[in-house]
Amino acid sequence: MSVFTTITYAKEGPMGVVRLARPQTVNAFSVRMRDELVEALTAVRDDSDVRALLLEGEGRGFCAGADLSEFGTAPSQAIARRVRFQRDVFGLMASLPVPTLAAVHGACLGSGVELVAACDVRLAADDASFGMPETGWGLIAAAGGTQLLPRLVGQGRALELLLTGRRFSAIEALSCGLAHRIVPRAALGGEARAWLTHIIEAPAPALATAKRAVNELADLPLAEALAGEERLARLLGVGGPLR
Amino acid sequence: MFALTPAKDGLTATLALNAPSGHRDLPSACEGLPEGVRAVVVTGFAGSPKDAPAALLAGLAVPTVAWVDGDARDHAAELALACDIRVLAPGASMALTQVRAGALPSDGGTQRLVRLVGRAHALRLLLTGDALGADEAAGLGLAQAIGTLADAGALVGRIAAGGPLATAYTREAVRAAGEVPLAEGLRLEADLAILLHTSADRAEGLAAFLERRSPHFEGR
Repeated sequence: MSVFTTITYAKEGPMGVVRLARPQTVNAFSVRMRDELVEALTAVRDDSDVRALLLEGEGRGFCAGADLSEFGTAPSQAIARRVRFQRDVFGLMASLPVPTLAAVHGACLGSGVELVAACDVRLAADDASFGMPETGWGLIAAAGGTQLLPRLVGQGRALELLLTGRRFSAIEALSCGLAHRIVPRAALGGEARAWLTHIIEAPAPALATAKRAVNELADLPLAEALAGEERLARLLGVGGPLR
Repeated sequence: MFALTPAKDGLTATLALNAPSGHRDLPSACEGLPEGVRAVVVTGFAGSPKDAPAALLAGLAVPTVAWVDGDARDHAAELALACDIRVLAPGASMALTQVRAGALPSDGGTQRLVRLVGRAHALRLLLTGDALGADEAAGLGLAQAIGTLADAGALVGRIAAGGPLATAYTREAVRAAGEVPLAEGLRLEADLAILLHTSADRAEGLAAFLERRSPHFEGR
Protein backbone atom coordinates (compact mmCIF):
# COMPACT_ATOMS: atom_id res chain seq x y z
CA MET A 1 0.00 0.00 0.00
CA SER A 2 1.34 3.40 -0.88
CA VAL A 3 1.95 6.09 1.71
CA PHE A 4 -1.04 8.35 2.14
CA THR A 5 -0.55 12.10 2.56
CA THR A 6 -4.12 13.42 2.59
CA ILE A 7 -5.81 10.68 4.62
CA THR A 8 -4.83 8.07 7.16
CA TYR A 9 -6.08 4.50 7.19
CA ALA A 10 -5.78 2.32 10.27
CA LYS A 11 -7.36 -0.85 11.54
CA GLU A 12 -8.75 -0.78 15.05
CA GLY A 13 -9.73 -4.37 15.72
CA PRO A 14 -12.51 -5.23 13.27
CA MET A 15 -12.94 -1.58 12.27
CA GLY A 16 -11.30 0.19 9.34
CA VAL A 17 -10.83 3.84 10.23
CA VAL A 18 -10.37 6.34 7.41
CA ARG A 19 -9.52 9.82 8.57
CA LEU A 20 -9.41 12.85 6.28
CA ALA A 21 -6.07 14.43 7.11
CA ARG A 22 -5.41 17.76 5.42
CA PRO A 23 -6.14 19.80 8.56
CA GLN A 24 -4.37 22.90 7.21
CA THR A 25 -7.18 23.17 4.61
CA VAL A 26 -10.00 21.80 6.84
CA ASN A 27 -9.64 18.59 4.83
CA ALA A 28 -10.48 20.18 1.47
CA PHE A 29 -11.33 17.36 -0.92
CA SER A 30 -8.48 17.28 -3.47
CA VAL A 31 -7.67 15.08 -6.45
CA ARG A 32 -5.03 13.35 -4.39
CA MET A 33 -7.49 12.78 -1.53
CA ARG A 34 -9.92 11.30 -4.00
CA ASP A 35 -7.31 8.86 -5.29
CA GLU A 36 -6.18 7.90 -1.81
CA LEU A 37 -9.77 7.35 -0.68
CA VAL A 38 -10.35 5.07 -3.66
CA GLU A 39 -7.29 3.06 -2.61
CA ALA A 40 -8.24 2.91 1.09
CA LEU A 41 -11.89 2.05 0.41
CA THR A 42 -10.85 -0.64 -2.05
CA ALA A 43 -8.66 -2.10 0.73
CA VAL A 44 -11.64 -2.02 3.09
CA ARG A 45 -13.79 -3.77 0.50
CA ASP A 46 -11.22 -6.49 -0.21
CA ASP A 47 -10.09 -7.17 3.38
CA SER A 48 -12.41 -9.73 4.91
CA ASP A 49 -11.09 -8.91 8.40
CA VAL A 50 -12.59 -5.43 8.17
CA ARG A 51 -16.16 -5.58 9.42
CA ALA A 52 -17.02 -1.88 9.54
CA LEU A 53 -15.82 1.48 8.25
CA LEU A 54 -15.52 4.64 10.30
CA LEU A 55 -14.98 7.91 8.42
CA GLU A 56 -13.82 10.93 10.40
CA GLY A 57 -11.89 14.17 9.93
CA GLU A 58 -8.76 15.49 11.57
CA GLY A 59 -8.42 19.04 12.89
CA ARG A 60 -10.95 21.86 13.08
CA GLY A 61 -13.62 20.41 10.83
CA PHE A 62 -14.68 17.33 8.90
CA CYS A 63 -14.34 18.64 5.34
CA ALA A 64 -14.57 22.18 3.95
CA GLY A 65 -15.64 20.89 0.52
CA ALA A 66 -13.86 20.47 -2.79
CA ASP A 67 -10.42 22.01 -3.16
CA LEU A 68 -11.48 24.66 -5.69
CA SER A 69 -7.85 25.72 -6.24
CA GLU A 70 -7.53 22.55 -8.35
CA PHE A 71 -10.68 23.10 -10.41
CA GLY A 72 -10.11 23.82 -14.05
CA THR A 73 -6.97 21.68 -14.09
CA ALA A 74 -8.63 18.70 -15.80
CA PRO A 75 -7.21 18.21 -19.30
CA SER A 76 -10.63 18.04 -20.99
CA GLN A 77 -14.30 17.52 -20.28
CA ALA A 78 -14.17 14.07 -21.86
CA ILE A 79 -11.37 12.98 -19.54
CA ALA A 80 -13.02 14.59 -16.55
CA ARG A 81 -16.17 12.60 -17.25
CA ARG A 82 -14.29 9.31 -17.64
CA VAL A 83 -12.34 9.87 -14.43
CA ARG A 84 -15.56 10.77 -12.61
CA PHE A 85 -16.78 7.21 -13.12
CA GLN A 86 -13.40 5.46 -12.84
CA ARG A 87 -12.41 7.02 -9.53
CA ASP A 88 -15.79 7.11 -7.92
CA VAL A 89 -15.17 7.47 -4.18
CA PHE A 90 -18.83 7.98 -3.49
CA GLY A 91 -20.05 4.97 -5.45
CA LEU A 92 -17.32 2.83 -3.88
CA MET A 93 -18.38 3.98 -0.42
CA ALA A 94 -22.02 3.17 -1.12
CA SER A 95 -21.09 -0.27 -2.49
CA LEU A 96 -19.15 -1.45 0.58
CA PRO A 97 -20.72 -4.58 2.09
CA VAL A 98 -19.81 -3.52 5.65
CA PRO A 99 -21.65 -0.88 7.69
CA THR A 100 -20.21 2.61 7.26
CA LEU A 101 -20.45 5.43 9.79
CA ALA A 102 -19.48 9.07 9.36
CA ALA A 103 -18.49 11.03 12.47
CA VAL A 104 -18.80 14.72 11.65
CA HIS A 105 -17.51 17.73 13.55
CA GLY A 106 -16.98 21.38 12.66
CA ALA A 107 -17.47 22.42 9.05
CA CYS A 108 -18.94 19.86 6.66
CA LEU A 109 -19.54 21.47 3.27
CA GLY A 110 -20.18 20.42 -0.32
CA SER A 111 -18.19 17.25 -1.06
CA GLY A 112 -18.03 16.70 2.71
CA VAL A 113 -21.82 16.43 2.88
CA GLU A 114 -21.76 14.13 -0.16
CA LEU A 115 -19.23 11.82 1.53
CA VAL A 116 -21.37 11.75 4.66
CA ALA A 117 -24.55 11.15 2.66
CA ALA A 118 -22.92 8.08 1.09
CA CYS A 119 -22.42 6.52 4.56
CA ASP A 120 -25.04 4.31 6.20
CA VAL A 121 -25.13 6.02 9.58
CA ARG A 122 -24.26 9.62 10.40
CA LEU A 123 -23.21 10.88 13.80
CA ALA A 124 -22.77 14.64 14.28
CA ALA A 125 -20.89 16.49 16.99
CA ASP A 126 -22.85 19.36 18.52
CA ASP A 127 -20.43 21.81 16.84
CA ALA A 128 -21.00 20.40 13.34
CA SER A 129 -22.37 22.72 10.66
CA PHE A 130 -23.37 21.79 7.15
CA GLY A 131 -23.94 23.50 3.82
CA MET A 132 -24.04 22.97 0.06
CA PRO A 133 -22.45 26.17 -1.33
CA GLU A 134 -21.94 24.97 -4.92
CA THR A 135 -24.48 27.05 -6.86
CA GLY A 136 -23.16 30.23 -5.20
CA TRP A 137 -19.91 29.61 -7.07
CA GLY A 138 -21.58 28.60 -10.33
CA LEU A 139 -21.08 24.89 -9.62
CA ILE A 140 -23.35 21.94 -8.98
CA ALA A 141 -23.04 19.21 -6.38
CA ALA A 142 -21.54 16.51 -8.56
CA ALA A 143 -20.73 13.62 -6.25
CA GLY A 144 -24.24 12.40 -5.59
CA GLY A 145 -25.53 15.44 -3.70
CA THR A 146 -28.46 16.11 -6.01
CA GLN A 147 -29.52 12.44 -5.81
CA LEU A 148 -28.76 11.43 -2.22
CA LEU A 149 -29.93 14.59 -0.44
CA PRO A 150 -33.53 14.41 -1.79
CA ARG A 151 -33.62 10.75 -0.74
CA LEU A 152 -32.41 11.61 2.76
CA VAL A 153 -34.16 14.91 3.52
CA GLY A 154 -36.98 15.12 0.93
CA GLN A 155 -37.20 17.03 -2.32
CA GLY A 156 -38.37 20.37 -0.90
CA ARG A 157 -35.68 20.56 1.76
CA ALA A 158 -32.99 19.31 -0.66
CA LEU A 159 -33.85 22.04 -3.18
CA GLU A 160 -33.88 24.70 -0.48
CA LEU A 161 -30.45 23.66 0.83
CA LEU A 162 -28.90 23.19 -2.61
CA LEU A 163 -30.28 26.38 -4.17
CA THR A 164 -29.60 28.75 -1.26
CA GLY A 165 -26.31 27.25 -0.04
CA ARG A 166 -27.10 28.35 3.51
CA ARG A 167 -25.28 26.85 6.47
CA PHE A 168 -27.27 24.72 8.88
CA SER A 169 -26.62 23.30 12.32
CA ALA A 170 -26.27 19.78 13.64
CA ILE A 171 -29.73 20.13 15.20
CA GLU A 172 -31.28 20.95 11.83
CA ALA A 173 -29.32 18.11 10.22
CA LEU A 174 -30.83 15.81 12.85
CA SER A 175 -34.37 17.07 12.32
CA CYS A 176 -34.24 16.74 8.54
CA GLY A 177 -32.68 13.27 8.56
CA LEU A 178 -29.13 14.05 7.44
CA ALA A 179 -27.74 13.20 10.90
CA HIS A 180 -29.03 10.32 12.99
CA ARG A 181 -27.66 11.39 16.38
CA ILE A 182 -25.88 14.35 17.96
CA VAL A 183 -23.24 13.93 20.66
CA PRO A 184 -20.96 16.38 22.49
CA ARG A 185 -17.85 17.20 20.47
CA ALA A 186 -15.51 15.60 23.02
CA ALA A 187 -17.45 12.33 22.91
CA LEU A 188 -17.65 12.01 19.10
CA GLY A 189 -14.80 9.54 18.51
CA GLY A 190 -15.80 7.30 21.41
CA GLU A 191 -19.50 7.31 20.58
CA ALA A 192 -18.78 6.56 16.92
CA ARG A 193 -16.67 3.53 17.83
CA ALA A 194 -19.19 2.33 20.41
CA TRP A 195 -22.09 2.64 17.95
CA LEU A 196 -20.25 0.85 15.17
CA THR A 197 -19.12 -1.86 17.60
CA HIS A 198 -22.75 -2.36 18.58
CA ILE A 199 -23.86 -2.52 14.93
CA ILE A 200 -21.33 -5.21 14.02
CA GLU A 201 -22.43 -7.47 16.85
CA ALA A 202 -24.97 -8.61 14.25
CA PRO A 203 -23.72 -11.31 11.87
CA ALA A 204 -21.81 -9.79 8.94
CA PRO A 205 -23.79 -11.63 6.20
CA ALA A 206 -27.07 -10.30 7.63
CA LEU A 207 -25.71 -6.74 7.71
CA ALA A 208 -24.38 -6.98 4.16
CA THR A 209 -27.65 -8.45 2.90
CA ALA A 210 -29.73 -5.79 4.64
CA LYS A 211 -27.60 -3.12 2.97
CA ARG A 212 -28.09 -4.78 -0.41
CA ALA A 213 -31.84 -5.05 0.13
CA VAL A 214 -32.19 -1.37 0.94
CA ASN A 215 -29.74 -0.03 -1.64
CA GLU A 216 -30.52 -2.28 -4.59
CA LEU A 217 -34.29 -2.52 -4.18
CA ALA A 218 -35.23 0.99 -3.06
CA ASP A 219 -36.08 2.31 -6.52
CA LEU A 220 -37.99 -0.73 -7.79
CA PRO A 221 -41.78 -1.06 -7.90
CA LEU A 222 -42.97 -2.63 -4.63
CA ALA A 223 -43.87 -6.07 -6.06
CA GLU A 224 -40.43 -6.45 -7.65
CA ALA A 225 -38.72 -5.19 -4.52
CA LEU A 226 -40.59 -7.69 -2.34
CA ALA A 227 -39.57 -10.51 -4.67
CA GLY A 228 -36.00 -9.24 -4.47
CA GLU A 229 -36.15 -9.21 -0.70
CA GLU A 230 -37.35 -12.80 -0.64
CA ARG A 231 -34.50 -13.80 -2.96
CA LEU A 232 -31.94 -12.10 -0.75
CA ALA A 233 -33.40 -13.76 2.36
CA ARG A 234 -33.05 -17.17 0.68
CA LEU A 235 -29.46 -16.35 -0.28
CA LEU A 236 -28.83 -15.59 3.37
CA GLY A 237 -30.35 -18.97 4.21
CA VAL A 238 -33.21 -17.76 6.33
CA GLY A 239 -36.03 -18.70 4.01
CA GLY A 240 -38.80 -16.65 2.61
CA PRO A 241 -41.45 -14.53 4.25
CA LEU A 242 -43.73 -15.79 7.00
CA ARG A 243 -46.76 -17.62 5.72
CA MET B 1 -56.27 37.99 -11.20
CA PHE B 2 -52.62 37.11 -11.81
CA ALA B 3 -49.83 39.67 -11.70
CA LEU B 4 -46.10 39.18 -12.19
CA THR B 5 -43.99 42.00 -10.77
CA PRO B 6 -40.20 42.02 -11.22
CA ALA B 7 -38.11 43.34 -8.33
CA LYS B 8 -36.05 46.51 -8.86
CA ASP B 9 -32.83 44.57 -9.50
CA GLY B 10 -34.61 42.45 -12.13
CA LEU B 11 -33.21 39.22 -10.65
CA THR B 12 -36.35 38.11 -8.84
CA ALA B 13 -40.07 38.62 -9.29
CA THR B 14 -43.29 38.18 -7.38
CA LEU B 15 -46.18 36.28 -8.93
CA ALA B 16 -49.45 37.16 -7.16
CA LEU B 17 -52.27 34.66 -7.69
CA ASN B 18 -54.97 36.91 -6.21
CA ALA B 19 -53.96 40.37 -7.46
CA PRO B 20 -56.64 43.11 -7.65
CA SER B 21 -55.60 43.76 -11.25
CA GLY B 22 -53.55 41.91 -13.84
CA HIS B 23 -54.09 38.99 -16.21
CA ARG B 24 -57.25 36.93 -16.16
CA ASP B 25 -55.36 33.68 -16.64
CA LEU B 26 -52.12 32.27 -15.27
CA PRO B 27 -50.55 31.39 -18.66
CA SER B 28 -50.72 35.01 -19.79
CA ALA B 29 -49.14 36.21 -16.54
CA CYS B 30 -46.34 33.63 -16.76
CA GLU B 31 -45.61 34.44 -20.38
CA GLY B 32 -44.57 37.85 -19.13
CA LEU B 33 -41.66 36.41 -17.09
CA PRO B 34 -38.88 38.81 -18.05
CA GLU B 35 -35.49 37.59 -19.25
CA GLY B 36 -33.01 37.86 -16.40
CA VAL B 37 -35.42 36.89 -13.62
CA ARG B 38 -33.72 34.00 -11.79
CA ALA B 39 -36.23 33.04 -9.10
CA VAL B 40 -39.87 33.81 -8.32
CA VAL B 41 -41.81 34.10 -5.07
CA VAL B 42 -45.44 33.12 -5.54
CA THR B 43 -48.08 34.65 -3.25
CA GLY B 44 -51.86 34.85 -2.87
CA PHE B 45 -52.70 31.16 -2.60
CA ALA B 46 -55.64 31.72 -0.28
CA GLY B 47 -58.30 33.13 -2.58
CA SER B 48 -56.55 32.15 -5.80
CA PRO B 49 -58.81 31.35 -8.77
CA LYS B 50 -59.64 27.67 -9.14
CA ASP B 51 -58.83 27.40 -12.83
CA ALA B 52 -55.07 28.08 -12.57
CA PRO B 53 -53.16 24.97 -13.69
CA ALA B 54 -50.56 23.75 -11.15
CA ALA B 55 -48.47 22.29 -13.99
CA LEU B 56 -47.79 25.81 -15.19
CA LEU B 57 -46.16 26.76 -11.89
CA ALA B 58 -44.18 23.51 -11.85
CA GLY B 59 -43.08 24.20 -15.41
CA LEU B 60 -41.70 27.70 -14.86
CA ALA B 61 -38.13 27.91 -16.07
CA VAL B 62 -36.78 29.25 -12.76
CA PRO B 63 -37.11 28.09 -9.14
CA THR B 64 -40.33 29.03 -7.36
CA VAL B 65 -40.82 29.72 -3.67
CA ALA B 66 -44.42 29.65 -2.47
CA TRP B 67 -45.23 32.05 0.34
CA VAL B 68 -48.42 30.75 1.90
CA ASP B 69 -50.35 33.23 4.01
CA GLY B 70 -53.80 32.41 5.39
CA ASP B 71 -55.51 29.09 4.63
CA ALA B 72 -54.45 27.40 1.39
CA ARG B 73 -57.19 24.87 0.81
CA ASP B 74 -57.73 22.30 -1.92
CA HIS B 75 -56.69 23.72 -5.28
CA ALA B 76 -54.77 26.56 -3.57
CA ALA B 77 -52.79 23.94 -1.66
CA GLU B 78 -52.15 22.01 -4.88
CA LEU B 79 -50.69 25.18 -6.42
CA ALA B 80 -48.36 25.56 -3.44
CA LEU B 81 -47.31 21.90 -3.76
CA ALA B 82 -46.32 22.59 -7.37
CA CYS B 83 -43.72 25.15 -6.26
CA ASP B 84 -40.14 24.04 -5.54
CA ILE B 85 -40.01 25.36 -1.96
CA ARG B 86 -42.72 26.45 0.49
CA VAL B 87 -42.53 29.12 3.19
CA LEU B 88 -45.58 29.29 5.48
CA ALA B 89 -46.52 32.41 7.40
CA PRO B 90 -46.80 31.65 11.14
CA GLY B 91 -50.61 31.51 11.11
CA ALA B 92 -50.96 29.85 7.69
CA SER B 93 -52.34 26.40 7.01
CA MET B 94 -52.65 23.96 4.13
CA ALA B 95 -55.37 21.35 3.62
CA LEU B 96 -56.67 19.04 0.91
CA THR B 97 -60.32 18.48 1.78
CA GLN B 98 -61.64 17.30 -1.59
CA VAL B 99 -61.98 13.66 -0.51
CA ARG B 100 -64.19 14.71 2.41
CA ALA B 101 -66.53 16.26 -0.16
CA GLY B 102 -66.57 13.13 -2.30
CA ALA B 103 -64.10 14.48 -4.85
CA LEU B 104 -60.39 13.99 -5.56
CA PRO B 105 -57.53 16.48 -5.68
CA SER B 106 -56.91 16.48 -9.41
CA ASP B 107 -54.21 19.02 -10.03
CA GLY B 108 -51.31 16.95 -8.74
CA GLY B 109 -52.34 16.90 -5.08
CA THR B 110 -52.24 13.15 -4.61
CA GLN B 111 -48.93 12.81 -6.46
CA ARG B 112 -46.93 15.79 -5.24
CA LEU B 113 -48.03 15.41 -1.61
CA VAL B 114 -46.87 11.80 -1.39
CA ARG B 115 -43.47 12.75 -2.86
CA LEU B 116 -43.05 15.49 -0.28
CA VAL B 117 -44.26 13.88 2.93
CA GLY B 118 -44.30 10.12 2.23
CA ARG B 119 -47.19 7.75 1.77
CA ALA B 120 -48.42 7.47 5.36
CA HIS B 121 -48.68 11.20 6.01
CA ALA B 122 -50.10 11.85 2.54
CA LEU B 123 -52.89 9.34 3.10
CA ARG B 124 -53.62 10.71 6.57
CA LEU B 125 -53.93 14.25 5.20
CA LEU B 126 -55.95 13.26 2.11
CA LEU B 127 -58.36 10.96 3.94
CA THR B 128 -58.99 13.18 6.95
CA GLY B 129 -58.80 16.56 5.22
CA ASP B 130 -57.00 17.85 8.32
CA ALA B 131 -55.43 21.28 7.99
CA LEU B 132 -51.70 21.48 8.67
CA GLY B 133 -50.42 24.50 10.56
CA ALA B 134 -47.04 26.00 9.78
CA ASP B 135 -45.18 24.11 12.52
CA GLU B 136 -46.57 20.74 11.56
CA ALA B 137 -46.03 21.43 7.84
CA ALA B 138 -42.40 22.26 8.58
CA GLY B 139 -42.02 19.13 10.69
CA LEU B 140 -43.29 16.92 7.87
CA GLY B 141 -41.05 18.53 5.24
CA LEU B 142 -44.03 20.10 3.47
CA ALA B 143 -42.81 23.59 4.38
CA GLN B 144 -39.11 24.33 4.28
CA ALA B 145 -39.40 27.46 6.45
CA ILE B 146 -41.84 29.49 8.52
CA GLY B 147 -41.63 33.22 7.89
CA THR B 148 -42.89 36.50 6.54
CA LEU B 149 -43.08 37.61 2.92
CA ALA B 150 -39.77 39.40 3.53
CA ASP B 151 -38.25 36.06 4.62
CA ALA B 152 -39.52 34.40 1.44
CA GLY B 153 -38.10 37.34 -0.53
CA ALA B 154 -34.71 36.90 1.13
CA LEU B 155 -34.80 33.21 0.21
CA VAL B 156 -35.46 33.87 -3.50
CA GLY B 157 -32.81 36.59 -3.38
CA ARG B 158 -30.34 34.02 -2.15
CA ILE B 159 -31.30 31.60 -4.89
CA ALA B 160 -31.01 34.36 -7.50
CA ALA B 161 -27.45 35.12 -6.33
CA GLY B 162 -26.30 31.65 -7.43
CA GLY B 163 -25.14 30.80 -10.92
CA PRO B 164 -28.26 30.55 -13.12
CA LEU B 165 -27.03 27.50 -15.03
CA ALA B 166 -25.82 25.78 -11.86
CA THR B 167 -29.18 26.52 -10.27
CA ALA B 168 -31.14 25.23 -13.26
CA TYR B 169 -29.06 22.02 -13.49
CA THR B 170 -29.33 21.41 -9.75
CA ARG B 171 -33.10 21.81 -9.95
CA GLU B 172 -33.28 19.48 -12.94
CA ALA B 173 -31.18 16.83 -11.19
CA VAL B 174 -33.10 17.03 -7.89
CA ARG B 175 -36.41 16.71 -9.71
CA ALA B 176 -35.05 13.67 -11.55
CA ALA B 177 -34.06 12.15 -8.19
CA GLY B 178 -37.75 11.68 -7.44
CA GLU B 179 -38.43 9.93 -10.72
CA VAL B 180 -35.51 7.75 -11.79
CA PRO B 181 -33.41 5.02 -10.16
CA LEU B 182 -30.32 6.20 -8.29
CA ALA B 183 -27.82 5.03 -10.90
CA GLU B 184 -29.57 6.98 -13.65
CA GLY B 185 -29.82 10.05 -11.45
CA LEU B 186 -26.12 9.91 -10.66
CA ARG B 187 -25.31 9.70 -14.37
CA LEU B 188 -27.52 12.69 -15.12
CA GLU B 189 -25.85 14.65 -12.33
CA ALA B 190 -22.38 13.80 -13.62
CA ASP B 191 -23.31 14.71 -17.19
CA LEU B 192 -24.79 18.04 -16.11
CA ALA B 193 -21.68 18.78 -14.04
CA ILE B 194 -19.43 18.09 -17.04
CA LEU B 195 -21.66 20.19 -19.29
CA LEU B 196 -21.39 22.99 -16.73
CA HIS B 197 -17.58 22.78 -17.10
CA THR B 198 -18.00 24.48 -20.46
CA SER B 199 -19.91 27.47 -19.08
CA ALA B 200 -18.63 30.98 -18.53
CA ASP B 201 -20.50 31.07 -15.21
CA ARG B 202 -18.47 28.23 -13.77
CA ALA B 203 -15.20 29.92 -14.77
CA GLU B 204 -16.46 33.16 -13.22
CA GLY B 205 -17.47 31.39 -10.01
CA LEU B 206 -14.05 29.75 -9.63
CA ALA B 207 -12.23 32.99 -10.43
CA ALA B 208 -14.33 34.86 -7.87
CA PHE B 209 -13.66 32.19 -5.24
CA LEU B 210 -9.90 32.34 -5.80
CA GLU B 211 -9.90 36.16 -5.89
CA ARG B 212 -12.10 36.27 -2.76
CA ARG B 213 -14.76 38.44 -4.39
CA SER B 214 -18.46 38.02 -5.21
CA PRO B 215 -19.10 36.35 -8.55
CA HIS B 216 -20.96 38.11 -11.33
CA PHE B 217 -22.98 35.54 -13.25
CA GLU B 218 -24.50 36.07 -16.68
CA GLY B 219 -26.25 32.74 -17.16
CA ARG B 220 -24.10 31.47 -20.00
